[in-house]
Amino acid sequence: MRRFFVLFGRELKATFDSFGFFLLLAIVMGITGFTFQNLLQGTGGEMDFALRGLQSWLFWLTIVLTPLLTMRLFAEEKRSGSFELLMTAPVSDAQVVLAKYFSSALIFATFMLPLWVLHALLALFFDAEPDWGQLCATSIGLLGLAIVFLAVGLFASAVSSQQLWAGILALIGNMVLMALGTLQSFFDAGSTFSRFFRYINLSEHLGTALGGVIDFRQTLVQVSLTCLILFWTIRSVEVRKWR
Amino acid sequence: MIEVHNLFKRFGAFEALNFVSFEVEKGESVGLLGVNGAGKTTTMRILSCFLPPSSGTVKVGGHDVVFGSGSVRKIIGYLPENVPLYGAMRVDEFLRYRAKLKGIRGREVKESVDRVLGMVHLDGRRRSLIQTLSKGLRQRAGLADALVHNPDLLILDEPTSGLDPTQRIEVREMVKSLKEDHTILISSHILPEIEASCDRVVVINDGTVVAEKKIDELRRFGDSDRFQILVRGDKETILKVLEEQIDLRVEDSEERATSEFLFSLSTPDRENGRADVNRRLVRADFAVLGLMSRDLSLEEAFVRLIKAGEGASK
Repeated sequence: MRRFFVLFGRELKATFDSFGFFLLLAIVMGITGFTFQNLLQGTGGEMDFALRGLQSWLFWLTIVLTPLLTMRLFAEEKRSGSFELLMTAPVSDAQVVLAKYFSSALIFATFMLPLWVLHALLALFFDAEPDWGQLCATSIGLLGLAIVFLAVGLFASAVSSQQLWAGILALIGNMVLMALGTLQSFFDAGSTFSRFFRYINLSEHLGTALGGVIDFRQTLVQVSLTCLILFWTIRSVEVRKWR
Repeated sequence: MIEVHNLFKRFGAFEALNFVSFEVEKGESVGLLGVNGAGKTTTMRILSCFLPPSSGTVKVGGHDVVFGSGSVRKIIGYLPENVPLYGAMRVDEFLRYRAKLKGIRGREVKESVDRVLGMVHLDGRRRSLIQTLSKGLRQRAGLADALVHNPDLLILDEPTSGLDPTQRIEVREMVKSLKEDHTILISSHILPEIEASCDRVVVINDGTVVAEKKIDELRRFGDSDRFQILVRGDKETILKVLEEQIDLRVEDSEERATSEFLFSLSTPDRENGRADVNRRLVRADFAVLGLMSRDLSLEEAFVRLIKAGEGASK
């Protein structure tokens, strides 16, 4: 466990020490502010509507941001050769994968800060009354989506030797996962397949969260999907041993 | 410390190692010698648990590299060929991270880092970013990483590759100083480096061990007796006398002083060859001023071994 935290700490430090992270954070904050202003103008100054619109834009942010956060994690280590140094240290493949995964999840969580800051500023200086419960549900919903996408991104990075390919593969993976839910319409309503695809419909999960509801069945699906993809990631790191 | 038996490694259709076997005793310093692509790096990657063997048994410190890889990784210090370090980290920060990863705790982390920085003479550069270090200094940082947990076995893959002569000598001296406290396996195709740092060599070619010899034995490798003889007289006449001896080969000659010539000779007759030459020259009234053994240079021995190995495989 100690080695896991050493790896976890190093991943966090590598990100928080990098100029790229703060640049990305600044861009996200800038776009969030700009989108909010546009939504506010579009809704005739209705702050509640604007805030809800902003939350759904964060869905697209999640799809695009997660590959950016994960694409370097393994691909860069392989490109620079430090993968060899890492994997000959007394650490297990699972420790390495999980440390990288949880650090990227924590880093993603920091990108939710602008949303919370915006709500706090509106409450403090503009006498707005944000729906904090709904904001919590949105944040949990976005995190639920992100944990799956981050696992997809980490898997893509583990099977790629170049960051760019890892990013593209992760983006495609995210899109495919989102599209899987739409397959339910091809089956009879109420059939096993229809219900299965409804359960794994990540768009519906997010819709529920944006409506201010946390459905733990959906959380269970997200966690299960994440565990499955992380298992594949660990296996793909181990693959070097069997080639 | 290292036991390799019938190690076979295949990458797809390519057979990188063909039933390699060798052993390294605790406290030994052994060179893994071979041309580029011979299989040195693959062997080292298997020993350091980065790659598994396709078949065969490899044990390090009594632990199997496949089933006890965690235990193996704790007792080895590995320096990969291109010294891949984290460029954005500072030297001491990197070493602290690696020390913790290798199981060192608390106050010992700082002590270990200070110790290895002193050993590799990087004290003055501890706060430098790794990406700003020269290749030689990066090599030292890599060596410090390999040493930070004071491992029993050091596996160094081409530690002087790409370095200038001064840096090469520095690293070589550093490796020599480690011989007392560590078992060392060092791979290289630079022979003076192996000569300076190792007691014994394992010569590998095309994925096969072609020889396992002490450095002195390697120099004496071959089936002919090689020696030099210093003779006073007319060169052409001396050569005629020498040519009379069957199987004697004159490899080289040079004039050392007026009418004094040094001949480099070889003969398959190890028992009587030298005496016969001496006798013939004295009988022909030449003054034999000296006769000395001429060992192979390490390069010559290496080339002969590789050729012998290739001949055997054909």
